[in-house]
Amino acid sequence: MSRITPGQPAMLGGTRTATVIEKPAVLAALVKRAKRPLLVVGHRALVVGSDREYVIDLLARWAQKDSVPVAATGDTGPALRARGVEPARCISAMNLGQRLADPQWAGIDRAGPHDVIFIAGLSYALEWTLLSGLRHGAASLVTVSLSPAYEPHASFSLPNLSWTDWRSLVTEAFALEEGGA
Amino acid sequence: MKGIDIRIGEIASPLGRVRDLRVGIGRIGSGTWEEPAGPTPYPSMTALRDWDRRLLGRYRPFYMPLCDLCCLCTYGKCDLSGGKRGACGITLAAQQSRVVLLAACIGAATHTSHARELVEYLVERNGRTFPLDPGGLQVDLHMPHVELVCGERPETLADLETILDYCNAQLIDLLAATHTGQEGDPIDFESKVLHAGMIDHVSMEVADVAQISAFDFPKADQGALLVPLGLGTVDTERPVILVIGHNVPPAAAILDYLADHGLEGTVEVTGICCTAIDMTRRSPSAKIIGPISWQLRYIRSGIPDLVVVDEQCVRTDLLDEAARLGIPVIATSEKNCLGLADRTDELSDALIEDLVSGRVPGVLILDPEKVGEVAVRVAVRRRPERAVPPVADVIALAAACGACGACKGACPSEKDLVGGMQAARSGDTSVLARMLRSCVGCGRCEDACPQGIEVHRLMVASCDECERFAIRTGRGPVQDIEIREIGGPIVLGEIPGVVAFVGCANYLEGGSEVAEMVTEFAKRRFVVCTSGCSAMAVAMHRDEEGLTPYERFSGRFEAGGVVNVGSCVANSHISGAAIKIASIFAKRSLSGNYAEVADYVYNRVGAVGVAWGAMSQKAAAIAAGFWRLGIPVVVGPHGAKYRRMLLGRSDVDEDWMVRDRRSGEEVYVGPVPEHLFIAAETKEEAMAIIAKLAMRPNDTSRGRSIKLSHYIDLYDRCYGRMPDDLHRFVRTKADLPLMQKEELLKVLEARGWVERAIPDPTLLPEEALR
Repeated sequence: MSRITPGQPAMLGGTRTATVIEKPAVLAALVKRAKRPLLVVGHRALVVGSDREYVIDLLARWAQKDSVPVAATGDTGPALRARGVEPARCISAMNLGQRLADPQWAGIDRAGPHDVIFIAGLSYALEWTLLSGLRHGAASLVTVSLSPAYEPHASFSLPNLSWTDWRSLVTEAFALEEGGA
Repeated sequence: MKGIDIRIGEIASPLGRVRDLRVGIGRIGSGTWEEPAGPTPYPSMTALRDWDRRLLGRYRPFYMPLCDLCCLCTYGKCDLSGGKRGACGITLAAQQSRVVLLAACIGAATHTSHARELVEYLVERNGRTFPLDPGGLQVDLHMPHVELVCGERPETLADLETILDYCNAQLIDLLAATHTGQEGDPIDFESKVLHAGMIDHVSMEVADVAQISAFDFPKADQGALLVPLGLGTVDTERPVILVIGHNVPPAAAILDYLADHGLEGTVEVTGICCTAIDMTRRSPSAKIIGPISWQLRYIRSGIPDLVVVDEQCVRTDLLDEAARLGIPVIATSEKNCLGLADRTDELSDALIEDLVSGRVPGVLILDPEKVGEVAVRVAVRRRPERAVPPVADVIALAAACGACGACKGACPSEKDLVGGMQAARSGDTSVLARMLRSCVGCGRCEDACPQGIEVHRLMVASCDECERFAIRTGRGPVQDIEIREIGGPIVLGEIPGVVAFVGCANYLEGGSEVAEMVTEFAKRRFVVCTSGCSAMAVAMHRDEEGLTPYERFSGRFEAGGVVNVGSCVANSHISGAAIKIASIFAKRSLSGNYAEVADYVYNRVGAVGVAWGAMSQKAAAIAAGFWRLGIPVVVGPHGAKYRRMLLGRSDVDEDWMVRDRRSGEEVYVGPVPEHLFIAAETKEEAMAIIAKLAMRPNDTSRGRSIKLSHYIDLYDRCYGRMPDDLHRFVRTKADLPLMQKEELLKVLEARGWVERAIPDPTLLPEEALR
């Protein structure tokens, strides 16, 4: 059995580590099963990518297509808006984590608690620590890391991927059409 | 015999009636101080537990474990995940708070030990009765932390020993609480974290007041000199000494030796980290190279002829690094011996010959004066020139890169080092050179490389930047007169806040972000303070006119001032300024009156700490000291690795009730300040958070409108819209910024906002207030 290392190898996980999403179908199934999903997009979604396209572009297209509510962390809000996605809320990652760990919280859009969060675009360590907080503080919440670096504290995580492979996997899983929403 | 303190309020005897009689052994006699003793002098670790629990009830810990396990005893390892308990019964939350307490104890112990070493040295050097004088005629309230916590007003160096005895005892008790089978409640652990923080600020104050007084550093000097900073300030034609660390006596002795022997101007004395700042407080001829992140870079430049290290934040592989270039090392601290032979008692000539000849890589000398002599005499016998690889070698060495990405995975700043190496192998070294600007200098990329490529060394070789900057050297405390002038505007909110940029250099995106934030808040007429490595990062950035923030803004503690208080231990003057506001402006009694003064600061003084590159356990302790005073702290994204935040819930109204001292009723004041400890993701987000955290319940309407205007503007800049939580911060229509009043009223009406009264707020019960 092959062993997967965290995106930053020293950042080992705990006693349980994230299930690796090897195939687009797995991610697609997670999306399909989610009843109250939340997409969390951090500022590095604007940094990781190629010259023409970044992580945020694909996530925005998915959020638009499937009407997924979005929490914009860092200063990502205006960039999402420029891509046609109005964030349900701009909120710091720590603040969001604390709320997600509260079973009484009404959700980002006050439409009820979330059962699954999809997260990408935070700096590696910030996402790692946030996911650790959620793993212990929000046990019933399923967390899916969409970052192109394996996050062991998530429930499910993409493996360490190149931009090209990441783009390909996400495009297929989210059934995004090439070149636009 | 120590620690005896007998107080008699009133006693009738055959000789007459005696009032307020106090007999103390092992206490400090303060002949001229007339403040009545408060309720908690020399508080034990539970004396302020009630105050702590009031804070921690509002700012609940959000734990983000770095490890699911407890490995501290032989029952373990114990898996604490999924609600499981350890063999001793401990929960994961308690274990996290326990580790936070350990970190805070390490930090506070480090400052206390530092202070102890300084005081012992200075007592021997200057005498036990040497008077404390941290501010000349400008400062009557010398040691606000000591007065507040201990109820003492020390007057001499020897008086400080009693204060440090107390700090030592508290730290031992706190450390004992982390033993298996002691505390199990996370909030009790957190309360002890706050206690460690409070002790830390007392120790820092002791250290800085001692060194200001005895070394004649600037004394609350608004016009502290601009001194040189940066690699470009070094005259490499001269012998060069590099000093690294935090405890200045050896460096001061080097400067003194040069002065005493007429050698000033013949040897370059350069420094990294806080010793560098403190050297420039001693002599403006000393030069600051940069923050801790410059250690590898500067040593590998091959410029220093000798490295002298004292304590704290010194690279533990420094001896190896120096040896590779044949640079001799002198270790000077019992806490950082580097494995070197202790040769303190040998003749200087023998040490010099051994170091110059390379017979030994270094020596341990535990006598600052001897260090001063040996360092200078070694440096002037300059070692043979050595240099980093030329650029042509960089290109050849980069060719071995297999683009595996191991370096990138090891880089805490997530730099695309693979891209840099690929560019270098094709002849373009500029990418690596640019990366060096925001590199934290950890060197992990080199250890990770399976090809053994020295990535950081190649970055250093690629970069020929050799700039010079100017930093205002540490001025020490805030003057009493400055507090009198702006204490009112701060408390009333008319000065929108005091923002302190402190801490280490573990930045995700580079230190220029700190400079940008400092400039932004100074332009907005906040009072901006800096210290330590943050103070240096601020200096390494120029505006469009070529000025560093220290050249652009005044050094006064005033609206729009940028005040470098000094090294790490000078952080106590920032928190001390908040205490001084309570004392000098609001006439609150300080002596042993912690909870009341903290309640005052929390509700009225819009101060915020920012540790954008916080890395160390000391930074954790410093932050905890701010928290106990009710001052929130914002850290950068790496700060999440302190493994817990202290966060308020703005959406839970019942969390924000206070007692109105006028009416005695419980009233809603809004989430001000919203958090006590939070990591921000980007500098834009941090600035919006800082502006928000500067609001306090006691703000006047005029003050709140000024603060709101900054918050709305910075929020809009970050998020591109009106704050979601605006309605929580507006109490009356008069709180609204005039220029936006109509627009904001519409927003508020849509959110069902209603006016509410502005109370005289307190978190304390009536009986706690004097």
